[in-house]
Amino acid sequence: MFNYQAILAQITGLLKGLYITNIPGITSMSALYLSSLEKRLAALAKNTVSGDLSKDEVLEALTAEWDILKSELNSFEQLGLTIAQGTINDVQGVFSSILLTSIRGDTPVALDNEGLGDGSGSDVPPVPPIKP
Amino acid sequence: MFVPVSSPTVIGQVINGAKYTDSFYLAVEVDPDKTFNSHKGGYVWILSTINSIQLQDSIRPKSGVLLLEVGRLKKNFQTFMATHQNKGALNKGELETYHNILNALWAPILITEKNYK
Repeated sequence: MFNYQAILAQITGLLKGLYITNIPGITSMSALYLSSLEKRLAALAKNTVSGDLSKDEVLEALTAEWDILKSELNSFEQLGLTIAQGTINDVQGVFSSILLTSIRGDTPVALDNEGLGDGSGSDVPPVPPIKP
Repeated sequence: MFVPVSSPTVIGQVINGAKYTDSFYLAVEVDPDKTFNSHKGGYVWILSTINSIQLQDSIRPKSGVLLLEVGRLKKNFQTFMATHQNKGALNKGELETYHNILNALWAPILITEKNYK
């Protein structure tokens, strides 16, 4: 089982800087994100213990958390918050570390390196056909 | 920075898409029959809604941020759909995990769209 509280503490620490802002909505939105992250991680831990999720599925879910956080940061930017590239790199580094050390053991795990995107839409994933 | 104009139609679709995704997973979680074939209609509806949002946003000038967020939602949704299809049925823990992740991916899309000018 992975230590979800340690993961939560790492991400909370990284986002702490986002609380220091006078932009309306950002503080409450980051708190809401961290609260929902805690619930998701707790459920993930519970389902790992119960055997409902394999190691690969936990890895997949934690990788999806990277997508969730990027979208959250995008929406913060839409509210006027400027997020330094250094912060994004730090968060990505923490996620890579979590996936590397907590879940996968010694096998490297690659996260996409798109950052938050340049806003051009050019890094949108290709659209596969709909399967009826 | 150029900010696109908010669209009431897209906001409505995002709300409906998020709501239906939530109700879809709640329904599958309590259904004794958790096979893909019994629920594929729900997947098609959600995916077509995501496609529609993506299409409407793609024709808006400078709409990159929302496209990124919708792209992440779509990528994860399709991964979960493919897992369900390949496995035939999902257990409660898998459904709860996918449900939580997709709910979390819808939320910033609504915030972004509502904060367009």
